[in-house]
Amino acid sequence: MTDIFDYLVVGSGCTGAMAAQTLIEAGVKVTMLDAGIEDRKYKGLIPDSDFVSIRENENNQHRYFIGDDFESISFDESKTGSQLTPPRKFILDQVDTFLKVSSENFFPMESLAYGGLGNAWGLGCCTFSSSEMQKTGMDFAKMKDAYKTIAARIGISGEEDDDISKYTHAGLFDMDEAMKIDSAAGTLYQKYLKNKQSINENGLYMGKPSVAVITKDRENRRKMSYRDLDFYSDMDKSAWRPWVTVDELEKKNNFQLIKGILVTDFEEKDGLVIVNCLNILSKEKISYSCKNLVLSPGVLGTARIVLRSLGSGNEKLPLICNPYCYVPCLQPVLAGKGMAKNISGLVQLSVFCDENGNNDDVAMASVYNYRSLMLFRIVKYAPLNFVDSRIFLQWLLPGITIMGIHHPEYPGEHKYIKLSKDNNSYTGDALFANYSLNEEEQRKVDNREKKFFKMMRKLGNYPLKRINPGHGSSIHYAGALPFDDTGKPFTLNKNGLLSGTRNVYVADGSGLKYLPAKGLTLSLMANAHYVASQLINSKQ
Amino acid sequence: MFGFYLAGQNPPPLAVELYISVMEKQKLHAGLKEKKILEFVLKNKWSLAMVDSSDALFQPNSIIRKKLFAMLAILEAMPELCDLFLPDKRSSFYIFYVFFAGTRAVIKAIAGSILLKLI
Repeated sequence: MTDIFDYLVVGSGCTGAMAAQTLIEAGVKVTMLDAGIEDRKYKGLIPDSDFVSIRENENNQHRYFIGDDFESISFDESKTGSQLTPPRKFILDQVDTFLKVSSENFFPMESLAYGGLGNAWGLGCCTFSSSEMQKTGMDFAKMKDAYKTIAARIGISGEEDDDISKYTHAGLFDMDEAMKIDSAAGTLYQKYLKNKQSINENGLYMGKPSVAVITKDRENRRKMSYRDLDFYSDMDKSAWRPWVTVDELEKKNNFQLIKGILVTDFEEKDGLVIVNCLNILSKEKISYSCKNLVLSPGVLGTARIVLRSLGSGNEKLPLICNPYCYVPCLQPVLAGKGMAKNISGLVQLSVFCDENGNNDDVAMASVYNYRSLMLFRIVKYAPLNFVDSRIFLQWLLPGITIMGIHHPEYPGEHKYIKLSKDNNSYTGDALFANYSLNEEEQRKVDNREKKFFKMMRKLGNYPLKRINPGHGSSIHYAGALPFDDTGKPFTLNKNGLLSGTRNVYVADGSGLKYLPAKGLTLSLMANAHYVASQLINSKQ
Repeated sequence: MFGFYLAGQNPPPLAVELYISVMEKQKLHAGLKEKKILEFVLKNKWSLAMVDSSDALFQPNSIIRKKLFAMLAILEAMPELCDLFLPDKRSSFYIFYVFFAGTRAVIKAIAGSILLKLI
């Protein structure tokens, strides 16, 4: 421990990347600490082609579609993260070793990857309404500018003005033209437009999603090429991932990235923050010293660090996570119709359930196609032998869509995390999580889902089975260190300063006191930018 | 045998090689009854479709189903066999073939469940 860093940012995910960029643009020196695990197996293996051409011609496609270790061949796909394709599995590398979780009812996904969970982000972008923002504890007026800054940095495409634009962007930022949608989504959308009056009366609205994908070339990124390899590769960088930004920051003189580092805890001493870490390769302990620490390793990661640093061992922190389920659906009229070669596997349509018509407590469904995830994964669910199931599902595939439903979520007494001792863990502890909904919350979830199902049936897209992967599977976590300006322990002030500290800031979703169902990543990045901006202002 | 059953033709040598590897890695453990069924199926190839059909309904996680699933996944990643898996435009009459396949599957499942009781 020799150097004293001006600004240490922990984590290279969506929020860490945005906080670091804001600091760098302000001209200060930034060092990013990150576990930084990368995919060395599959990167460079996937040809610069499209999904169908690869399927027809490439002899070694089994390496990335099935995996060198047959990662895709699993009968148990209920675990969070088990649906990741082999080239995305590196996101979970070493997590079981260093980020132990103990729970019977909460199964989160965490990452030690370079770019963090942003590598698996579905790329959906939404803005919170002023009432939602108020409930989260963030300031809508200030976040408006932050949304604009983030949208300009990452590039977002979407529909300027349709039935859902008030939920996705509300005219707060400029966008590229919306992505093209596939034929199944196109058919569904046309039916929606014909029936929209009665559907809207039930508080449901459908439209083209806003996504962090560019449809116009920009600098070193190519526009969306519709190769249907979105779950396998980001080679043309049309989709924004955190590493796109961090790679660019690395070219700057005032930025340094130190990989292989897991931050475990911190202490403040003589006006400095001492950051204690573990080298994930050598397992050796190492410390860094800085003037300002910005934590953004994700809500659960931040909770671990803060509990180790400031906790007595008994504290319970609140936790919020959007209830989530996914539902395979079928449009029978599309069976046997074939599928275009050039499509995207990303979200095709978004549906919002705004029961009170006030853009508050809105539930959200995202509709995807299935082709690039391969037929074998769903054949096993059919109650027929494999040969006939394959015939049946190949025929039905053009009409199969997957609808993922997220619900808004509030904190509650049965939703918490705490640190427990674990002598088998490198960090000496495990995160214990408890998560359950009360009857009223579950009833609301069920009712909203019924509304989505009813709407889909009306549009001729029949829900086949509701799959509940369990609490934690939405991968949206928040609220462990809620915003609170009274200085209560384990809270953040509006600027992200951690209570009881002088120079420790939190730039991830830990402060949110309420979790809207709309994709939260854009809002978290906007908050990270805001926290970093306030930090700079406070030091001037 | 599994490859031929699933694809209707001899699988590419690479698929067989990969199947052997995945079986070595997965180390599936069969109970006494499942071992007996597996041995019967290996001796009587005609029974595989019936056992698969019956298991799909009553024992979807059986050893035979897991082995077939692994082979199916591998076959899907063989370029020679992609036509069996990629969606294609079909004539309206194809629906009759699909219904035929469905009916065939049900009959096989009934026959399979009787067979499994006898083994």
